[in-house]
Amino acid sequence: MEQTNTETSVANDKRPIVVIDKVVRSYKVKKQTIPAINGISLSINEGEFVVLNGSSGSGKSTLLQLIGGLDKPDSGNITIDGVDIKKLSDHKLSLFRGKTIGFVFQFFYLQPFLRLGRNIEVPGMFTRLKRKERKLRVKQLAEIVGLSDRLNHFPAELSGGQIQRAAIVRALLNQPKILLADEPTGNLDSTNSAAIIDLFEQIRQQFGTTIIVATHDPNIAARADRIITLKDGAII
Amino acid sequence: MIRLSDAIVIAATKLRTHRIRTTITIILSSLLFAALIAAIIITTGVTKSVAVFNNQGLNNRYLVWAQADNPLFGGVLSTKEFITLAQQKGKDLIIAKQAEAKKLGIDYNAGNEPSATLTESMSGQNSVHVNFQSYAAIEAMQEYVKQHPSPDLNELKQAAANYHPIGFYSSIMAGLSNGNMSIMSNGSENFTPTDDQRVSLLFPGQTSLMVDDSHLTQPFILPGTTTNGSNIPLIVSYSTAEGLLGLPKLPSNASTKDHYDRIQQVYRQTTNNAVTVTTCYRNSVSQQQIDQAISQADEIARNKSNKDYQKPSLIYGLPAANSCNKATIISDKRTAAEKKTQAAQDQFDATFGQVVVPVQQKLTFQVVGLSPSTSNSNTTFSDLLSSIVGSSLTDGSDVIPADLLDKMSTATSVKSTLLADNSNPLAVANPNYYVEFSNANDARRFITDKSCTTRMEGTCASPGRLFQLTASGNNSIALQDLQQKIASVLGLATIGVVVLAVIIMTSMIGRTVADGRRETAVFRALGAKRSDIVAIYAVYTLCLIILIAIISLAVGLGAAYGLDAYYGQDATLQAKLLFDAVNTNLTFRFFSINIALLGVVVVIIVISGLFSMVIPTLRNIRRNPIQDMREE
Ligand SMILES: Nc1ncnc2c1ncn2[C@@H]1O[C@H](COP(=O)(O)OP(=O)(O)OP(=O)(O)O)[C@@H](O)[C@H]1O
Ligand SMILES: [Mg+2]
Repeated sequence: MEQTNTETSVANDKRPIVVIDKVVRSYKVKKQTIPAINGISLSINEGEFVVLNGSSGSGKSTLLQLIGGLDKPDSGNITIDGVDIKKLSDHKLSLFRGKTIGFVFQFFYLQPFLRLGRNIEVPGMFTRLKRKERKLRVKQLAEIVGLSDRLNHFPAELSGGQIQRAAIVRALLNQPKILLADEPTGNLDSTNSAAIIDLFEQIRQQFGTTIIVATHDPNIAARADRIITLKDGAII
Repeated sequence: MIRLSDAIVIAATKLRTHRIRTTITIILSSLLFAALIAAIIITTGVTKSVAVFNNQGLNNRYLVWAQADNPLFGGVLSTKEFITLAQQKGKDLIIAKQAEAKKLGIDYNAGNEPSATLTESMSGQNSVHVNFQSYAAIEAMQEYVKQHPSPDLNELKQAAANYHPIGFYSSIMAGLSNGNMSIMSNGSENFTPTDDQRVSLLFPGQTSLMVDDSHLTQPFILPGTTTNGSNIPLIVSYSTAEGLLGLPKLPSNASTKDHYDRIQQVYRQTTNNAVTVTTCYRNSVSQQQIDQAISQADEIARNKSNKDYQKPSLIYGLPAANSCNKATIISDKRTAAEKKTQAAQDQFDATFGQVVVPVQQKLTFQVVGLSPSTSNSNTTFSDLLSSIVGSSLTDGSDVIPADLLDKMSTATSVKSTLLADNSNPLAVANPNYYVEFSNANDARRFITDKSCTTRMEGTCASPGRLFQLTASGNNSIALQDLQQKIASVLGLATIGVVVLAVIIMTSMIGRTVADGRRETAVFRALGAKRSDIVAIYAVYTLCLIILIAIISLAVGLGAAYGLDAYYGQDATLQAKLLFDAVNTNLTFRFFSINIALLGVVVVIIVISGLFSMVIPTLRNIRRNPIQDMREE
């Protein structure tokens, strides 16, 4: 905990920003019920850097999606930044996601026919962020990840690492309180992976963002404040 | 919701994602709509052009031809009542003839008198008919007609009163029933006209000679033509005028241009020069004497060397060929008694309905008007046009304008010749009337409500349906029907095009949306609301639609313009030919833009495009984004 205790005062308050209470989420596949999340309770504080760990199929992605409001639990409550997201309408949930959550995916998912700058702007489009402000933030964020000179390029003209860095700053455009990343280094070599890990660290320090990463990557786990290991949908 | 400009940015990426598919969809849909647009422009152009040419002649007027039935029609003549009347007339006639013969001191054999009725045995049953050869039958018919007069103009006016008529015009068939007219070509009469020439009332090909109200004839009168007061004004068809001018017929393979040049020539020549044709009218007695003069001369010549031959006591001779006089008498060696008997016989015959006095009259007609020939057409296009339009008032008949006829110095004598009554009531046609209306609807309603249709059943006698009624003079009513038909066909075509285009666009947009599922899921994870996704696809669809609309308009306009450029000139000639619209610079165009109608098409394109988007997009936003993200 010591090392994260930097400029961000909020982190010191240890205010829980993610509170998960007896959450169950199961999938029905061919009459068989698979409990992807099986009664998890968990609290994550503001500014915390948490890694979700566990073997394949243990429920890491499902948990991230529940936290991000992309999915809803069968039972139990999820409170994000003081809001019970189970009660939100689809519209409100989308607004909440746009403002509070930033998503990073294993496969980056940049739009191939948009230039990098535009790609990073996308979340701002959904929150109706002013064009000028958007450009300004893109410029600042690009500087952080060293892509300032690449904003006019199409994704196909960039390396995997560059793309993932762009995808990460895209997730940061709306200055979310929580950054959710699912195997962000799963498709990267070790050098690029290291850069991404540094970037998470930097983000947390600079913006006080709560970061939750689902990963098998021990290098990320090594830098986390807390490692939560899942097995069969439960924390061990 | 997402800003329009941002939605456009994202929608544009979708247009670029599936270029081939997008291009094919745009091309197919555009072609469909382009065909529709071209069809609309062309039919608008054709309809407009037809309407413009339609203002020529009697077109664009709504005339209904009306004629009361001859009261003798409808089975009257075979009723018991009429047979009895005829038989009574037969008895009376014999008594009257016997009395008259006695008074005049001539022989009369009642046994030779044709019976008023004939009995025919048909399959064992006897049926009694009127004998039309008998004067008694004619008298019976005359009496019947007097007792049952045909409805007249006043009754027609009453019948039409509720349909807002704007004019009643009469058209009378010239009689010539007791004789015939033959053309005096080069001023001399052909005393032995062929049967063909005898039968035809006037000029070859014409079946009747009408005297028509000036309201009917006015559109056909040539500008600036005047007659000398003794020439009978006449409207003839272009082809008749061509013959009168002595122009050789055009070969069958003559071009449109040749035909057009010809009618222009006919028009010019008849307008600039008084084209006249002189005829000699002879009644049956006059013609009989001429025939007799010829056969007598023949007989005398044949018996020149025959000493036993005795010349007839009364020998006729031919009058001067240019005179149209009655036959001369070369010698009359009849005794006073013979002459007296003949005079008495003539008086007797005249009393009982026979013509005995020769009547002949030189009649000079002057062409004062031209009407379209029944067919100038030499192409399918003009055939088609002529079936749609074309003024039919003068079809098959030459027409004398009534007003100009009245202005003639010799009006009375000409009328007594041309409009002589036929003594046989069965042969008398009731006057033709034309009722004019200001619109097709009134005309049509008048016809359906008031026309007597089944003549044989005698329904004309049914109350309120006293006249035969048909749309006439032109095809304005048919034209309006055709326009409605075109409109409904275009309507159906529109539905077809829309359905096809919607299918094409739906499947294309459907696939694009399906392919965009993962992207939608990512956008949803990045904060997109369902409405944002709908907005993106709506803008994407709008972009497609705008492209389709622009291309369809361009291609449709281009195609119509091309057709117009390629066929317009020829069509103009054809139409002019058809309408004989020589003195105009009208053009026939295949191209006419109806902004409102094209606007409707564009709106239809937009709506069908948006409609194509609805189903795929609705299905898409209902999906669970996580599921779509998992699908790798
Ligand atoms: N949409 C779904 N339908 C059916 N089963 C699902 C669905 N999503 C997840 N599961 C199941 O739920 C369980 C947890 O899946 P989850 O993706 O959360 O695992 P994970 O820990 O992310 O695995 P990995 O490390 O391989 O990404 C698995 O057994 C998985 O098959
Ligand atoms: Mg996973």
